[in-house]
Amino acid sequence: MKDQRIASVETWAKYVRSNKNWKNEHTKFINAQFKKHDRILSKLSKEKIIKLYGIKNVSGYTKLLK
Amino acid sequence: MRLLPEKNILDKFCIKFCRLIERYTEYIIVSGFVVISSGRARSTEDIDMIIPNQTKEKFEIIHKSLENDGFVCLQSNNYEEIYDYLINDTSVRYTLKNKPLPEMELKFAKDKLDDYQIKTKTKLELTGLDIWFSSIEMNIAFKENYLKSKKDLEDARHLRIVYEELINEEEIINIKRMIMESRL
Repeated sequence: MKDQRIASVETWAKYVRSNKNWKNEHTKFINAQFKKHDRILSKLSKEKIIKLYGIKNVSGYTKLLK
Repeated sequence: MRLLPEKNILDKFCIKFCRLIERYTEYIIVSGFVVISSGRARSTEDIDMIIPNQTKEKFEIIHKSLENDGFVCLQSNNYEEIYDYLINDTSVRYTLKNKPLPEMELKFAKDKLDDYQIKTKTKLELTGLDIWFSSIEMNIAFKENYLKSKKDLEDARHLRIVYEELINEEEIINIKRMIMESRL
């Protein structure tokens, strides 16, 4: 039996091939990930943000790390 | 009149970075973003870019231009330090100022295979993006023969379906042979 994950990847890929509007749905999906990320980021402490992203150049992120 | 589809956050970030880099050198976008911009329904935090090796003087110009355009390197502000990472085959990460995501993971071409990737770069109409990607065959070969995680195999499957008519199987075999010779 085909792996269910692969089966769903194939279903979506076939949708992309056959539907010219795939990009609009895809854009909403991608942007939603970043909006969620921004919401979570706003709740994190400066120390956690530095650790999470491996920020060595703190001066490039002064507003974020206020 | 048909409206062009809206660009997503990753698209806009990638276009801005590529427009700047192409003023100075060739580039290619490789791996995850090739698949995502070709419709794969998964997210990523970074986009991978390979550029040919640069001299320190040329890289200083590129780095300062990136800074002037609002980009910051996560590792350092000092172009010499960043250059040291790059010439030692370590990638560096650029983001927009005060925005840790998304990030552009930049590296220099490190071997003949990377040179070949740059030489065979392509634009992909399906993505709707006017940027240079490594070839579909290259991405499939890397994901099937070198990276091989579950995610990579799913990515390869996606590419095989959406670009079915464009794929040159002989080229995939040729690249897999090159991967065996230079990376495994």
